[in-house]
Amino acid sequence: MKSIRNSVYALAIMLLGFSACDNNDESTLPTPDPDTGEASTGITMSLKTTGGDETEFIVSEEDIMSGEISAEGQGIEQTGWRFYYPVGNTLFASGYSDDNQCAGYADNGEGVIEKKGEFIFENALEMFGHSEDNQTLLAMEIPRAGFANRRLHFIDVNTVSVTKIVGTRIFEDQENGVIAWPSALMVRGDKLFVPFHKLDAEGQFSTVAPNTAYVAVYSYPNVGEMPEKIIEDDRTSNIGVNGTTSGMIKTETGDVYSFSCGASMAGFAPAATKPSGILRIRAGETEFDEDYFFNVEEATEGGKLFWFDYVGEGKAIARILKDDTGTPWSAFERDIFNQKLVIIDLVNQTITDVANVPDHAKRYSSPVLVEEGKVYVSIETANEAYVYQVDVANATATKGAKINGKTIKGFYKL
Amino acid sequence: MKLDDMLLRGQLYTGYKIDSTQSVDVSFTQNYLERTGNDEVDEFNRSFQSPNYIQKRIASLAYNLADKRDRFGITGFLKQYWYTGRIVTQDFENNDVVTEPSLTNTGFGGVFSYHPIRFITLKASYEKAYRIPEPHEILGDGIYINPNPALTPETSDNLNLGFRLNKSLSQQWLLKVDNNLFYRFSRDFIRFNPLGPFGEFENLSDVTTRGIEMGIHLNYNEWVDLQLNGTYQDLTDQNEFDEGLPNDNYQSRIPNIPYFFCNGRIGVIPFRQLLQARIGFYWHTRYVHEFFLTWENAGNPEDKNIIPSQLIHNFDVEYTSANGHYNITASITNLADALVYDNFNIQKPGRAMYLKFRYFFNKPS
Repeated sequence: MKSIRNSVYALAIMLLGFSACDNNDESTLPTPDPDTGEASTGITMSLKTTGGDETEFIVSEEDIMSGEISAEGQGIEQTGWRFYYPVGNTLFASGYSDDNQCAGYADNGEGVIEKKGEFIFENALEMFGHSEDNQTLLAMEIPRAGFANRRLHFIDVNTVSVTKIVGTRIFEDQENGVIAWPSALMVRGDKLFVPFHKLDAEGQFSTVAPNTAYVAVYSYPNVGEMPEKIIEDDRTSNIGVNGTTSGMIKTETGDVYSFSCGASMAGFAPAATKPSGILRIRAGETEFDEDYFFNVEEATEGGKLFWFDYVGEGKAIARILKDDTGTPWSAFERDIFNQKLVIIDLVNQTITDVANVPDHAKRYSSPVLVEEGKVYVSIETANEAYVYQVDVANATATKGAKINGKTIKGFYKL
Repeated sequence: MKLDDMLLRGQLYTGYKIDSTQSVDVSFTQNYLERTGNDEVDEFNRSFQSPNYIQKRIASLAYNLADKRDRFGITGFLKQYWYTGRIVTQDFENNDVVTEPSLTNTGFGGVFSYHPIRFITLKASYEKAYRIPEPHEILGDGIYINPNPALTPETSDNLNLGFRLNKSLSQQWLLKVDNNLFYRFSRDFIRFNPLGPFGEFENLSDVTTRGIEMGIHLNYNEWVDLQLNGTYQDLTDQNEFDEGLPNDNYQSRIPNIPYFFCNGRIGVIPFRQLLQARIGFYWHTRYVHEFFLTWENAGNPEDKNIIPSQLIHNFDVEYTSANGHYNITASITNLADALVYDNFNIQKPGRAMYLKFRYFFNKPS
């Protein structure tokens, strides 16, 4: 008892506590000065810096073929890792796992890039596409596990606002626990093509049926909850690669080409046993062209397509994994520099290595900017990162500005 | 997502005075946390389904030596750190990945203090220190902080130089001044990396901290009490490379950490002779200078994300009955109702009022 008496007991009673949290209209947060934004002239880039959090910036330069590209003291700061997807002269920067917001940047009429609008979403938008008139951004939320709708957002490019959301499963097999992971959203005429990977429903990202290409075909713009049909082709593997929006591309005449990878390094688990290659859907058709298959693996002696994008006149620029010897998903890292840059003649089925470009590692790219037959790419090797200008017709490249950062995710004209 | 934490904490301390000039202190602390969790919404989320634990133990032994006239003092100490854990996370294929961090290391240090004159103390110290991640840093908080099982303990060499003045200016006036210069070289510096609404703690391989702390304390006859404190610290990234490429933030200021802040407090305790009770009025002001969310060197400084400067005033009135049994405190926090933030875009409370009654059953005199 004595010890109890000697101890001090405190009884604290919060009798009354109220607080006022009324929000003042005037915010003390600084509003950006319109004079301080990035110029919209020249070439705009999404630059990922090195160090710590790898903050990303939107920067512009008149000349990207000499000197250095840096965010030192310039650039529009972004939050977290982002997807960058241009539609017309508007650049959309969309948050990934860290930030559920998507902003549209464009020229403000005075030569300065400004955020013209933004919207938020529930789950990360992980696949992007656009209407043929460049007035609508298409973006899809993809829940990572379970049977749930993939929510296709229609975003007005001018107002940067969501005008419609359509929920679709694309494909699912509840009995066997299989869901669909879209790998492109491509509009052609009155159709929307959505190639997809079949994944386990538990969110383990295992590719349960890697040896077939699958495409869901919807009507457009009145996209329904169910696709009109799903087409398949077992000459190659699932179309596209996680995060790449250009798994399926379209020529000026309306022919559609898709690439299939199937590599373990690119996240296919198990890896496909079918060769990496290119399939075609002819203009006006909604079935694979049975007379066309470009076996890229054979043409490159074991290489697998990791990325491609359309650069005009029936040609694509592409990155080929020269081998698939890395650990799962390692093509998305900076350990193995085994990607080569090539120009593919889609019609004639030829591949030409782009001269003067070293083997490199490149994870994510926005759709390419093509100007007068020239394409800019960011090439990162073990110890340096540089811009290269690729001459499509001659399959040659010129080394340009040094990148002070980890990568340039994309090049844009705003 | 429901998380259950089981905590086991213990602390042992003992001191022994060898003679009038020598003494020994021994202490032991232990900290064990076990976390289990269950997600009732997402059936496939297996975070914390198998228990995670973190065990920290620190033992320290200090030896103090002072001369008979108390002109100088020397302390030498050893600290033994034991750190083990088992953290189960899921990789992108939802397979369990077990991380078992562990550290067994010995830190050490010494303090030398010297009184050139009676009321002045000069102090120099060095410590080789280890900072073991706190549970919320490595396991996350289930809300805003994502777990990072790869987080490793921070190692640092700390140097301090201190100056203290403690002088009665007259019968009534007492003045204390504290100045401290610090220099820290940290490996695997632990910092919070904010990523939108979420973030995680991460290690920065090489960070240097230089700073100064200053404090003034003035007291008049236990009637008026004034305290002013300020800190300026410069934390910079000294890592030259990131994954083989030059680090863009080399020698740039570490973001999202305040680098200048100060506070002041004035207390008035009037009528002490007149009243049986004691009534005190306290005004407290705190200032934190604005700081950047991301690295200082990158991006247009005019439109970079910042955590704006904070200036907060609080006011307290405290009433204590003569023998200390009853205690009533009335407080107004954030008097000016300023819009303030500690974290980017996460607002702190505005003006608030509190009234607190406290009763001590037993009050040691």
